[in-house]
Amino acid sequence: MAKHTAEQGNQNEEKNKQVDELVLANEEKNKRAGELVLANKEKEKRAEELVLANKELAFQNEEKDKRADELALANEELAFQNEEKEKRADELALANEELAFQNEEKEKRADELALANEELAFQNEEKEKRADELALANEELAFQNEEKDKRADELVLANEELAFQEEEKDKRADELVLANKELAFQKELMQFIDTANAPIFGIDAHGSINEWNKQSEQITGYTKTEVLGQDLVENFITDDYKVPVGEVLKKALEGEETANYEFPLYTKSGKRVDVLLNSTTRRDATGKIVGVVGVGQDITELNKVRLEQESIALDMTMLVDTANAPIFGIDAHGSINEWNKQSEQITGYTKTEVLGQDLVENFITDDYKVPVGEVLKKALEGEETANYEFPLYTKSGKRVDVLLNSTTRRDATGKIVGVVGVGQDITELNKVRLEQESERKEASAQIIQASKLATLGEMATSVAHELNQPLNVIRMAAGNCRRKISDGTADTEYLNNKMERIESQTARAAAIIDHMRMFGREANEELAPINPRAVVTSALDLMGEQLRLAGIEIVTEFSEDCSSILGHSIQMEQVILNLLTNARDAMAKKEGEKKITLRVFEDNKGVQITAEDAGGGIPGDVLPRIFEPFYTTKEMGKGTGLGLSVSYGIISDMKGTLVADNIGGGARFTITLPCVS
Amino acid sequence: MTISIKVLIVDDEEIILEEASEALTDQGYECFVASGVKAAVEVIETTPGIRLILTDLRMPRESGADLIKMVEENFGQDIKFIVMSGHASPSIETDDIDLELYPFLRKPLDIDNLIGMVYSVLGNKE
Repeated sequence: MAKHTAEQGNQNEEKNKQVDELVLANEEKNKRAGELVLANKEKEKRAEELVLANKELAFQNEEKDKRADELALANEELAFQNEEKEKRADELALANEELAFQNEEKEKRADELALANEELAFQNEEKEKRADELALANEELAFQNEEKDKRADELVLANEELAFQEEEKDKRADELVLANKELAFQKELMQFIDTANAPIFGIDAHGSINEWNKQSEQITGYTKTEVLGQDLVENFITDDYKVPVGEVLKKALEGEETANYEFPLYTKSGKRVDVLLNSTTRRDATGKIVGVVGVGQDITELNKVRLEQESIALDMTMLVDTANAPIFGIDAHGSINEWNKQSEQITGYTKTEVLGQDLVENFITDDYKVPVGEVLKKALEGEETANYEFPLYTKSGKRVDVLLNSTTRRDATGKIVGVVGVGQDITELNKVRLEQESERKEASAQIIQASKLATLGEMATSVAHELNQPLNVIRMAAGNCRRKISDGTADTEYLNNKMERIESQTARAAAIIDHMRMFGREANEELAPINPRAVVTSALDLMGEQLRLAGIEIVTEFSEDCSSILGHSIQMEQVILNLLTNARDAMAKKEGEKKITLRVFEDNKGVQITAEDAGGGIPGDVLPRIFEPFYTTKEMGKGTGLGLSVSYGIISDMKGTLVADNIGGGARFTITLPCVS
Repeated sequence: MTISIKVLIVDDEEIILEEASEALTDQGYECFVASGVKAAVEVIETTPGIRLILTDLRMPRESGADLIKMVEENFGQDIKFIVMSGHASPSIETDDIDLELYPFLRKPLDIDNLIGMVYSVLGNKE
């Protein structure tokens, strides 16, 4: 056993030695590994330094390249500079040549200048010579002018002498003319008397004829030679007139002249001639009475005419008296001086009853005294009136409507002496006129009503649409309400708001229905001031929804201030509805934007309401007929054609105008109405 | 998380926009309103994710049919439509759109009908 142990022990020692050697070997190995690691690390460092060095080298090379590039550039630049320098040198050489040339030229110029100066000196000498000659010439001229003045003075004297001679000649000539005139006058006078268109005769102090002109010969048939020296009265006046004519002539012989003494003369042939005699006293140069000159006038024709006139006047009087119209006359004081039979008939007053009475005071009713008096007064001043209407009350108290024409009455000289009135009984005419007017009004009202009912029919559809809108709101509001209540999420505030909404919509529906009802009623309202903006708004209330559904945009432009207009608001609304309906129909088939623009404003013509659409406008052949009753461009069964003609009538009755024209891409209707303050 | 479905209501009458959007909002939809075609297009451009447009047909200026045409041309076919009108049935407004293809609600609107139709057109609430 011990050997075993000792062997084991040796083996163990061997093993231990081996282990130690192993350990040492390992330690060595470890050392070697550590040194290897260090060496590697050194190698790495070297490698890194190498990389750095390479980088540095690369960088240096780059720099070198850059320097090389810059140098190349600099060399290029230098080469370029040298080229430029040579170019400059060439240019300088050229410049110098040029300069040399210039200098040569300058010297040439200098020579020319010297020549020119010599020439100038010569010119100046010449100029001085001319100046001397001019001075001499001026002296000569002064002398000439003195001579001229002397001649002028002599001429003035000669003219004065001549003028004086002329005056003297004229004086002699005038004296001669006067003398000739005197002579001519004498001759003329004689001729005048001889050829006068009136018989002129003369008797001497004893009554014997010593003058007898041609007309006297002509009228009496007795020649001058036959009568000269004869006693006028004795031989040529009829017995019954011998005394009176003799008186007239005797008076003239005593200086008392007579004018317009009428008497009959019998010619040689026995014909009677009526003569109007003017007898003049004839005196000599000293004023002593030497005879009588008689100037006659054949008034036979005149008398005949006068008689005729009187007969015509009588006829006229009869005509006026029996005329089929009342004719009366007043004088300048207003008193009746003419009253024909018809006047008697109509008024019941006879001529005798009225003559001399003041017409206005006694026969015109109090309320018309002033105006009728005015008409008559104007006529008395020359201003005539035609067709003045006033009432007259007859003797029996019946009323008669008279249409009066007043004419200024003048005498033969043109002086105003009164007024003539010609009347016309228009009582019946007025009655008929009133009847017709009332019939017309009735027919007009019926047509308006018919049109309104037609509109009303159309409106029924419109109301259906209008009512739809509030109903829509009510339905949705109520629906939402109900759902919230069943969810339990409805609070009092929410419910209140919704109920209010519903209530206000029902009120709106009620208003629409009321409006329609009011519209349907026949209008017998009085004319009243209405607000045009309110009327348009009201019409839109009735049609707004319908237009919206048709895709039509409504634009309103109302001016801030606008006067009222006088009319019936329902009728006005009817007109606006008519225009809106027409606009809607015009745009029904149109593509593109559908718009109606309504404007209300005021200008100097009055209140203007316009409606413009985008319906393409009214064709040229339709436009002039558009307001005709029953004229329609719509198909059979659609539209009565009454609308625009009734609208036109309504606006006319309101004293306004309705016109249509085309503007832009559509039609425009313009209502103009007088303002009411 | 539940995302609300976006619905656009187009009508020129304010009160209808109010009541309809109240009813649909209560049902969990997110409602947008526009009073005309122009306003509607603005909303669609600035609000992505609108799934349904409920539009009145007869409006002044452009009509509901114009809106449908514009939306289908420019925004694709993802958006569904319901049309409303006061008339018994819509007539063909333009040559390019057959309005009878779209779900139709008669005015005056009944709230229950409105909600029911929106449900069925959009499928489910979510």
